[in-house]
Amino acid sequence: MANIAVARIKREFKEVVKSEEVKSFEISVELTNDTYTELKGEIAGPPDTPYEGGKYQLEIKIPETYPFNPPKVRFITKIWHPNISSVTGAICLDILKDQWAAAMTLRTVLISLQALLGAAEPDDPQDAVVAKQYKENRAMFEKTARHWAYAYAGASNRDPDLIEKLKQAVSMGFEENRARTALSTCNWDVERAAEQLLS
Amino acid sequence: MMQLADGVDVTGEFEQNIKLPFTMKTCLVMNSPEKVFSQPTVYHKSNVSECRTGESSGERAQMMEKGEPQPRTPQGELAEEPLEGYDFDFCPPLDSKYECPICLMCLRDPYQTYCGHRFCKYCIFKWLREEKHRCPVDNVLLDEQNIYPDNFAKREILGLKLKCPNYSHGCRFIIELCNLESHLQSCFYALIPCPQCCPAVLPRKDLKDHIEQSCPRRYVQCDYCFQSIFLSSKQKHLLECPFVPTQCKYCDILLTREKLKKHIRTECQKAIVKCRFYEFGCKTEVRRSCIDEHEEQQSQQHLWLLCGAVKELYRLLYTIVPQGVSPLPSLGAPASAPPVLTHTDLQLDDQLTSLNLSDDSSLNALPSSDFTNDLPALKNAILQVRRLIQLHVKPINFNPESTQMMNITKIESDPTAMQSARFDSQQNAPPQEHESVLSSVQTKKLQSLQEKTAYQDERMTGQSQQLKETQAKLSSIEKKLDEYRIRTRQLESQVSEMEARSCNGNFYWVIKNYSRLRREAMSGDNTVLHSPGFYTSFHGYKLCVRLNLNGVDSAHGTHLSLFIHFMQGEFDSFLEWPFGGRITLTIMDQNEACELRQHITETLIAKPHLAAFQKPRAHRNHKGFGYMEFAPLSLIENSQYVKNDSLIIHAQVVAQ
Repeated sequence: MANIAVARIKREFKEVVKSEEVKSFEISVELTNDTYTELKGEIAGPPDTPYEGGKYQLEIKIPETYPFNPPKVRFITKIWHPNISSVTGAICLDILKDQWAAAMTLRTVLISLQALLGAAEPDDPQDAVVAKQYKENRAMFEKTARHWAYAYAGASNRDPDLIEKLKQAVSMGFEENRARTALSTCNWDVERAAEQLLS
Repeated sequence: MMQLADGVDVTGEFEQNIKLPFTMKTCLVMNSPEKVFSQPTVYHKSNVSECRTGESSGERAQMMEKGEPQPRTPQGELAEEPLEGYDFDFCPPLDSKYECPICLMCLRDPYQTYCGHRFCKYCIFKWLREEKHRCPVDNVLLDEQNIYPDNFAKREILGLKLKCPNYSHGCRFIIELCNLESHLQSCFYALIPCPQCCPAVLPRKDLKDHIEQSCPRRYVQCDYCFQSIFLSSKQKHLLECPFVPTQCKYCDILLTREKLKKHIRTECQKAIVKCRFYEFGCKTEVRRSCIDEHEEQQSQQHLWLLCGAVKELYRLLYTIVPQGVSPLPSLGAPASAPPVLTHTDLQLDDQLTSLNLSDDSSLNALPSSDFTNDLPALKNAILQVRRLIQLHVKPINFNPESTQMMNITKIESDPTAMQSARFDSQQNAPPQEHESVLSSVQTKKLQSLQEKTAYQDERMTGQSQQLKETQAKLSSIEKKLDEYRIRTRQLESQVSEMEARSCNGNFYWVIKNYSRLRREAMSGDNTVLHSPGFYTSFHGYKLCVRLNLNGVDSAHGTHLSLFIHFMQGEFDSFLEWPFGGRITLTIMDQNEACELRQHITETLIAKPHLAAFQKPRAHRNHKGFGYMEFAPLSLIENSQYVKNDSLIIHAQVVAQ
């Protein structure tokens, strides 16, 4: 890897580790290999959002041309959010694309992502289904998002109603994750979800 | 494709914009337009080339990975070395205002954007060339014309202090960034690869010791021949060096390897040497000291061996020389041997029989039939030898009755001798004839004499060579000695000159051998004495004292006359002339009792109009100044002024 990229990531890594946000457990970052080309980040779901209490793991890949090109970031932890793919974890965020600036760092990227969780942009969606739900049935979206945070991100806010519905779907013989996705997509209508799963 | 189009567009824009200010600058400030123009030209070219090569950032990244030159910086420098910020341990820690937001290191060649952000030159240009025309910090639109070198920040940064990068190796220097390079070139802790190509990399401070003392590829001096040799080849060298003291394996004497060879070859008495007849079959090897004894004891044996050898020689000769053109036509095949030989043959047989009867040695075990079969051949050989000798001797002095001839004949025709030659392993000496013994002793003596002569000759040559060398050395030493003599004289005169200069105008002149000088003065042989020159001060006037021991002119024969003469000194050119000052002349009373001493003293004041005080035109001014009647001669000789035949005159000269 180019010298400048490594040198910078090393510095940034130190910066993140020392930052206030790490101290308050809002973000963290750790190395996954010795060459500083891949890291694992983690952000806490921001308060007063459906994601509160959840911990979201991120895959961060540093390109050779860093910091002249943005790092490649993806959610490992499944999340229900208009700008994040519920299937792949891919993120639609301008600063990770054309609005990247070389002065941005791992820390600012993680904080921006955290901010994104609190301020979705449904008009520039990554996941059209989620965005549609967000726009048309905000309450259902928040319920679903909260359930996903509970199911995948370790948030404590469980919704017995949705869990019951999920159990129904599972009892019909569907795999739990698939069932959850289908239910979420169909606004937790068990029948429609079953139809979708069978089609 | 969009990116490429953007790039071209920007270049065009750039070309239009940048040329104007540079041209204006040329007209206003610079006098050499080419020089100034060269810059924007390169700038422009590099930009175009970058557009060509870097069609997409992905492609460029690939090229950099392959080691292609990175994009040029605006001034056309190749960005091969890391040109992003300084990565040092600043002390105190780097203020964040000097940190480049792109590389997060200390700004190198800082540029400032019009929006007020600073970046390393390399970083910001690289960023803008990535077709991103926004400030990396606040995203405002930005291009290369909106950024400027920030020399204020640059100066401040170059004044920042930092720990020497070799801190971890032990260097405790805190230096300013601008002095870092010069420090690193002399830093004792900088790691340097050994210049002698050994794999070691070590701090500069240890390099000298390493090169001289521990590098496996260093040069060392041979203790014996003082040659410089690689350490690794020292062992090998010591096994070959001709100057290594080596012990003689025979007599334990210690000699240099070179001399030892000669010692063993020619001198060592304990060395095992081969018998001189080794080639002829005597395989004896004895100590040199015993070789004479051996040869004496075994002379008979050796003679037989020689015989055999000669015989063999002739046999060879016989086979080589063709029958038809033989130089010895009378020597036919063994079958056609002359009748006289047949006679000898019979005698031989008789003697052999008697030998067999009388001697119980191993000879008995010999197959006599073989021996007798060989006899004709032997005889034939002897005959050939005899004829050959005759042929060779005849032209000079052929006398078949001469003792020499007789001896040879007798030895050769002695069947027992031949027998012995045939069986040289036989140890028991057969009966000897007196003549042959005599001859062998003589031959041996002759040989030893010849050897001695040869040895003496050799030594003589060596010695005469040595003599020549010594003479050459001597003459060179003499030459040097002469040089030294001259040098010594020069030094002596320099020393006396220095003494003369450092007396500070207080000059004591000791006149030894007064009585002899007085006699000479009286007789008129040498009426005047001049003292060595002296100076009034280190850079002062040079003078001398003149003394007439028998007086001059009116004082002749009655008084001692004393004068001061000015001499040409080294500093005359800047001294004031005529001389002005006071001169005191004294004849010292050398009375033992200090209180009784009555020095004769006269003080005179220089009179500027007198020729004696003008700048000397000659080595010593002809005109002096002093007293014709300085002191009555009777007073001088009847008091204590002359002691130990010495008169002491003191002159004190004080310049104004």
